[in-house]
Amino acid sequence: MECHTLFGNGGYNAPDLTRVALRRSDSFITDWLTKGRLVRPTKTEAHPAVSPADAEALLTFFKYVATVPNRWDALPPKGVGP
Amino acid sequence: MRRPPVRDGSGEVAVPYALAVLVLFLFQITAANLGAVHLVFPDLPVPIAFERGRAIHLNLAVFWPMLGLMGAAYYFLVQDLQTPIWSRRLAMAQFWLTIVALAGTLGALLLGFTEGREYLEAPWPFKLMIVLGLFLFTVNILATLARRWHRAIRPVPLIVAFSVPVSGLLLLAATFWYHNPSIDEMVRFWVVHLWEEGSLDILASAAVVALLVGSRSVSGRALEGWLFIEAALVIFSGTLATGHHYYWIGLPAFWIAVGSVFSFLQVVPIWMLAHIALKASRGVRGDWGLSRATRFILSAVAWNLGGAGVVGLAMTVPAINRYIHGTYVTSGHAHLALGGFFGFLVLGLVLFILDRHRPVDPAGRRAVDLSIWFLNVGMGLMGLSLLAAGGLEAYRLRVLGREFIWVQSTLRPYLALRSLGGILFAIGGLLYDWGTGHPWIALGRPRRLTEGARSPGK
Repeated sequence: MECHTLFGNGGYNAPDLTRVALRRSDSFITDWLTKGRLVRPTKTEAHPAVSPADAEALLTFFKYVATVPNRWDALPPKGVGP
Repeated sequence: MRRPPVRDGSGEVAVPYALAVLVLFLFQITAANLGAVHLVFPDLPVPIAFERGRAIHLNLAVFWPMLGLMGAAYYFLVQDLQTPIWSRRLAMAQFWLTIVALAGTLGALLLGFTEGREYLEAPWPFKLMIVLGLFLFTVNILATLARRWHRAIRPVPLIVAFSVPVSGLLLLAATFWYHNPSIDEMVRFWVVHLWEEGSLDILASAAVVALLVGSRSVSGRALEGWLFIEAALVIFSGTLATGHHYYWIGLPAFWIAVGSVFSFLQVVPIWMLAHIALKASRGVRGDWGLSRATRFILSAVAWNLGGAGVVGLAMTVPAINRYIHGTYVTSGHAHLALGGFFGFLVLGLVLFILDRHRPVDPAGRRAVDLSIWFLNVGMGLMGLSLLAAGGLEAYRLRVLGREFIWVQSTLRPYLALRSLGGILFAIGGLLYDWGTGHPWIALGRPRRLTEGARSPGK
């Protein structure tokens, strides 16, 4: 919540994650969460990596949150989230 | 001529709170500047990881003004009721409990222990300790009021007696974690919104009136009446205006109507407070501590008018909010309405309280005078550059539909300007802290300065 936002609330320097489960595949999300890849635009800073079990739990949470009808993604047309 | 400081000794319970504010303010400007520089130069080796530093920054943003308001509440309650506080020992117990809770919170966040809920990141035992502190505070206030119940049915004592337990109840509700993320967000805003635009807001208004009216022994009946109305409006409009945080978190659609209507009404008490502060501050001169505290308070109400009364109002219009929600506009608004209002207000109160007990010496006075300029210019630059960054971000991200990271990279010049504002603010903060704090560092030394200044002309 310090970097990303959920329902638009949180940190502002990483994309909103409310609908991330609809935009990305399951494997992409778990891969991203466990591998700890470099975060753009940095050259040295890696995304915090979590255990596979935690990644699965987060994926389940993202899938649930994506079903919450929060009205926000009806408008604007593009660009909310990654 | 200088007014003698409080003699009954009971107002002294406010001093440790005020001194703790100086220390926490120092932590705040350090954490904030590190984070701001990190955003501009993401590859710069910063000792605190961004996510931990931001959590510390947010928690401090609530806690140092809260501590200052607690101290001020004790101070002005004693002044207003003309009676000693019921238990100084309980007040000190509450102080140390809160300090331990804050130290624990900062330590936990620094080590990466977080509940992951913005503003409420502290592990729950520390939040419970703060709740307990607020309830000890309530007991002390009610017992003090009971001593002078015939004087208690007046705005300042009643507002203090109402706002402290309500703050505790709101935080208690938000101490627990709710499985439904929409409910969890809803309860989170009971603290994030209802503290700042409800319970702490009326406490701040009461402190403004108590300081500007009470400390001059001027008849302030009319202004106290206005304070009652202002506080009632804050509670009425502020409570339902929480709805502007409920637009997009999955709660029913009626909150869009309720939130936007009551957000408009919420502006009325903001203007009223500015009117009260302006009216009460007229003719304040001659006493350095009071006149400088007044400058801080007038700065605070000015930032409140701009940050909450204008920017905040525009943001709550749902058609605008859906574009700027979750952008740096919110951050700009928070800096002005939280740091600008509560920050400057508490700096004024702390200056007043400390100066009354151990007067600021001439060098300290020059430092504080200078700090007012640095703090105001720094705050203005921070707020405006964040608002500009947020406006561009909303346009490029939500209207043009450009990619998130690209949009972020285009905001760097504005974030650099914000960082410059942060540095100016930090210079002001250091000057302020040194000016008001250095007479207290010599605690163990002979009290020549204090004793001499405490009995002018006696």
